[in-house]
Amino acid sequence: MKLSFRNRIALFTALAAAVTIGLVFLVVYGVVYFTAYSHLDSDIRQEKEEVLHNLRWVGDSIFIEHMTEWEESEHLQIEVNPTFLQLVDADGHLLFRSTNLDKDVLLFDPALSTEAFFNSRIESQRIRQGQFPILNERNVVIGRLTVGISQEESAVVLHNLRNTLWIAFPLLLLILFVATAIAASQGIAPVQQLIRTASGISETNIHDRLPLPGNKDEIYRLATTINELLQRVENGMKREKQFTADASHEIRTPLTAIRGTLEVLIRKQRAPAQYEEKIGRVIAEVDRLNTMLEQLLQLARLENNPVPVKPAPVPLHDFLVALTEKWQPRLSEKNMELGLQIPPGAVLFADATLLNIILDNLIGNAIKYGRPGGRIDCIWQADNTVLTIRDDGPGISSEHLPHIFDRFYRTDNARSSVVQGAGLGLSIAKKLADISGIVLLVKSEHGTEVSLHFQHSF
Amino acid sequence: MRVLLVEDETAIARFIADGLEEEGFAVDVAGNGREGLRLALDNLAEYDLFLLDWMLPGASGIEICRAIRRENKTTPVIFLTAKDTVDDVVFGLETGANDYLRKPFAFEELLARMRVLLRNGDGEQNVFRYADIELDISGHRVLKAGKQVELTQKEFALLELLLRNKGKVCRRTRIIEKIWDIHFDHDTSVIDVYINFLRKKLDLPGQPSFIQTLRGVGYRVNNDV
Repeated sequence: MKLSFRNRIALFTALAAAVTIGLVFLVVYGVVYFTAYSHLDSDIRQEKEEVLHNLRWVGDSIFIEHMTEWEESEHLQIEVNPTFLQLVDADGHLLFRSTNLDKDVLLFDPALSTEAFFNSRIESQRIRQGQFPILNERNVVIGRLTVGISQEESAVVLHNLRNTLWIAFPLLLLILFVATAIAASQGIAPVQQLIRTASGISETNIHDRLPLPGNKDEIYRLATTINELLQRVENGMKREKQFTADASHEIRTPLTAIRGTLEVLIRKQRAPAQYEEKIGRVIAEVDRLNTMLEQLLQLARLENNPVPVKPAPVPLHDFLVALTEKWQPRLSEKNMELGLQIPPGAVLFADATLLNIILDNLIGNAIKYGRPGGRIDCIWQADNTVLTIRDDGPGISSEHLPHIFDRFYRTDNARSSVVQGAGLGLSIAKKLADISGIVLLVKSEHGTEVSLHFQHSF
Repeated sequence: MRVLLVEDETAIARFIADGLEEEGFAVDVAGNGREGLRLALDNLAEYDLFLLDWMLPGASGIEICRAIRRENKTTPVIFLTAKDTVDDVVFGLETGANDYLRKPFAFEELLARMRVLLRNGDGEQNVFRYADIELDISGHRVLKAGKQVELTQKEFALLELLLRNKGKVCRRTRIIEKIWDIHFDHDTSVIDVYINFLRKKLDLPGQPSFIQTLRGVGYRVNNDV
């Protein structure tokens, strides 16, 4: 059976209360019970003392003196507060019985040698009786006295008490259950409120937040936790939106240029050289678009599929020589020099394919943004396994540094399109570095310095 | 007509400038927001229209548009931008822009929209006449006694300026500002050359020219007699 939260709380409380109340009731009943009986028993004892006061014994024989006591009405009649007396000798033969006993016999147990109290009945009356041995000087039992008094009153009291407790017990539990259920539902009302507000938040109003209660209690913590979660979701959505906006901007820009250039071109007849120049420009834009789409696809694949990383020893020097070869035309175009400060024997442990893409992007970037006529250095520090790529270009200002790994991020300088690029290369390099466990750090003071920190894993 | 184009993508700026210049506009290009803002505010009166990209390094097109609108309520502003949601369009227009073109756009559409905005208020005058000379702006042609006369873009622009201001003097500085772009090196003798071209093509032989010279000041086309 599935219980709602508030009913579960109510049930637990009711069960705990049932045990507690049950114990309390037992104690109360027990105390009343014993008080009632000890009262009766002390009455019986008193009666016994009076009887014994009127008895005398010599040897084994018991003599009963005449005493006014016997004549008292309580021994004669049975209806109102009777007191019954019965005296037997050591062998159990009846010596005396009070008038009101008639032919009924007060029970006595011959096996009992000490005084004892027990309950019995005479006709319909409930009796409390005490049985006392009568001892002579030598401590020999010479007879037994049984005193009985009505316990009707006590029994009624106890009976009523028992009934009251039996009725009160379930009633109390029921009241407690209902009250706790109400209190619990009041207690979780703020939670219900949170549920209602939170379920009303969708992507259209993701910037809404749950109202925080005044008290810094659990509900407050719950609300702040949910709000923090919402903030993270919102940030993610914002990033996604920003990405879509950036991507569409980056795709539309070359498309606009292509379309517009061609459109203006065919508005009238032109000299062949003009056609060549404009179409050359269009082809450059198509190339730019193509490069960007390639990079976007690469990023998308990186995001959607786990890339297998297969580290193996990479001979760094030969690796970089091969990699930089393809950049030679661009380097000589910008009259730049690339220096490898890498000992021929240097070996590092990495996934060659991923490392190739990372370094290709970084070196391409260094050439792109480096100073024409400047130089680029690749430096390997074997003792702390750091590979640094350094250029002596204008560098990156500190406001841009935190963003340079963002997709489509380009500094204003980079945007003014002397340098072509969509701003995806560094994102790809960063993502791949993360995947291969390489820490990528960028510093910019004089020129830009990108360092790859490899893990000591071999 | 002089236009300021603020666009950071050189490939886009180039084709717009080329295309507009072929249509007789004088086009100044600013490659970033700061330069655009400076050019716009320095030469506010000279420009007849502003073409602004939205996302620009330095200062956004929105900021430039606001700056223009603070100083000048009427000069048309068109946004050219890759931002394309309805919210963006509304926001752009509420900033004070007169029109909004989403990239990629058709150049012809840009031209058509520019012409709509450059029409003279309610009159929407598209045809200017002087004697038997007729200048049709929307048709982009000039008729002399019903026969079409071929004019270069600069000649056309010069004639348009003179006829638009019929009866008023067009000062030499104003002619330079309106018809030549900012890179022109203030040698105003080029005006005289173009005035001569116009006279050769449109004057009646043996009669005084329809364009009067006010020496050292400028030129004027008189009101019809």
